[in-house]
Amino acid sequence: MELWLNAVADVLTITNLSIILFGTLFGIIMGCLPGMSSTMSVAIIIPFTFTMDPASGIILLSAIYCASVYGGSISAILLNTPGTPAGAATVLDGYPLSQQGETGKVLGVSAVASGLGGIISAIILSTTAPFLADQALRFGAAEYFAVAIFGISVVSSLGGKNPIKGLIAGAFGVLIATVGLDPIVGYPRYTMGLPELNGGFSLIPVLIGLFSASQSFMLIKSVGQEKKQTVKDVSSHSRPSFGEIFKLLPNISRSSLIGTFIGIIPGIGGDPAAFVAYNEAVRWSKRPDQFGKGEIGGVAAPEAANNAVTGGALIPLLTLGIPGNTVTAILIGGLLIHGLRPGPMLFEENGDVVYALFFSLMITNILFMAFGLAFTKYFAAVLKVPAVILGPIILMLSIVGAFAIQNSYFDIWVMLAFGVIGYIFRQLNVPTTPIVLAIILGPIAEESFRQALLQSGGELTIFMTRPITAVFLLLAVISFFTPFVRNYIQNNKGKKADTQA
Amino acid sequence: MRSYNFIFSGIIIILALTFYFWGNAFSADAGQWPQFFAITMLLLSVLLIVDTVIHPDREKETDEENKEIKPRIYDHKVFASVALLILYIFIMERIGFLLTTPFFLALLLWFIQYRQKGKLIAVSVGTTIGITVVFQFLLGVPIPQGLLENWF
Repeated sequence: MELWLNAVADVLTITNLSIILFGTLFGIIMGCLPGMSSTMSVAIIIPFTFTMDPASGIILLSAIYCASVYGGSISAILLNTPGTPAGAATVLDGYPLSQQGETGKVLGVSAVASGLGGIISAIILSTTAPFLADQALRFGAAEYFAVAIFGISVVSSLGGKNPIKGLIAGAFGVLIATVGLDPIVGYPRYTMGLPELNGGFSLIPVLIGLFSASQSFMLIKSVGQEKKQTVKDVSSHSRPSFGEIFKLLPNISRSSLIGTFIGIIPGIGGDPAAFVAYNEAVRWSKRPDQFGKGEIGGVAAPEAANNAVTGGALIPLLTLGIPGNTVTAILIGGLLIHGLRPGPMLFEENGDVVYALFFSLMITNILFMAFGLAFTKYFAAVLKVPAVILGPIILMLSIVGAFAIQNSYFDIWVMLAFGVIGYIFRQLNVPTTPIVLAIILGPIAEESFRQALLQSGGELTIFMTRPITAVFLLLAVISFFTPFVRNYIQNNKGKKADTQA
Repeated sequence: MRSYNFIFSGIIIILALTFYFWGNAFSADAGQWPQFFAITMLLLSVLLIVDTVIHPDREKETDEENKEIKPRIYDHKVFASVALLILYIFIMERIGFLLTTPFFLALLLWFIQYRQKGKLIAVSVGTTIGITVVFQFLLGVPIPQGLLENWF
């Protein structure tokens, strides 16, 4: 209780409220812009939180995260193009409704559903995470190895159409993470004699390169190829009534629970959660035939679910140090620059920061709900900013951000190199998220694996005889092979359908 | 995507072999972990080649008219941006962010076909001043100062 009271006092200061306000506005604007992702928005801001106190820094990053997921719905509804992948399901009914002249109502429902989804997941996060962290305090090296391997195992589901590419990216990330001094014996590995590499590649320039610089190259490439799109005028349209919102509450609550649960499972993310919630909304609806043509429940469900993922994804991050999705992997960078290592000890040593984060998430969700109802027409204006201007500006922010962490020009070169790698990988359909997951979890896995072997005198059975370790390793095997099995089943179904036809 | 997959796999195999043989020079303790993943990456690259031969259309993407969309890595605008960026970082290291950035941004915008001169200058100068004011002065985040070191 004391931690909660301190959190409320911490967050309700002018400084932190201003930070939440800025983060919410910045997040909505970045989420609005097609092609900008929550990941990029958070990655580019991390270096600028360096001079803030830890609580303010992480509050800013999480506000950007939540608000950018909501922002994605604005372009989905107005342009038929989701601002973030998580907004893809919102397009299905959001855009038809907008075409039918219901723009104000649908934007309002999207704001309320997103806000409520976020609040419900924040409540679940703040009630379950401390309990789980308490359990995780008993973990030793073997358990941490198993948990890290479980986190890494999701790379097989991140490869898109070709899981092998996701695995190659993951192995590449693990190798990149081995550059620097060996964690146990201190032997320099792959440093090429460069003292700057003794500590390995700095995480933040790598993240900025992979997600922000590569995105700016994509924007630069798209210059001259953009489709002409007209943004609908939203200034004169009505808002949803209280009665309309009230009717949607069961749908919003169900979708929020789906989103939170899917968010907890590492590697799944916001877009599948939105589609699962959408399908459930169709199943429970009395008018399922209206979905896809302009049904308001088809907007409320994915919006509640994709924002509920935000709280769910923070549960494995804060309790075990395992990122639930790409954005939370980036958030680890935000915690690390303040010397905070996510995991159960975070609750013991920095409980004030964690509870301030919990409380700030609720404020952020309320704030963007209010903004969404009141000022959407101004956010819609952002959609008119052309890629030719955005690309270079993001590139400049990437350079300043990479430099700011250690005042190091070397980090700017690292950022540029990973920017080019990220751009090439995207063009080749090779996902970049596995690289980040592996860079973060690879060193934890290596260090705990070797420590566990030292403790057991080199006996590998230590990973089988400890129950929690064995369970996590089993989960890792299941999570690793699931996409391959799914592909196999789908291929077989396709072949059967072909032969029957 | 077929030919790109072969080239990509080839580069990854070379990279994996480099990591593996370089790892031979480390002490046994330090080398085992990266060498294990180097071999894994090598095997996966071979698997990608085999998979591409067996399923050449796995990643085929089509447009609205059902025509195949081929990936295009080389783009002269991106290539020019990276080349300019390399030059910019070299010069900025010596002269500083504030003095170099407006010229770099103006050149970059020009290279990527932005031809509205007034807006081009406004964006170049405005972005530089905006970043300096917000990050250096408001947030206290250092930006490369070069010749202007200790001026502010």
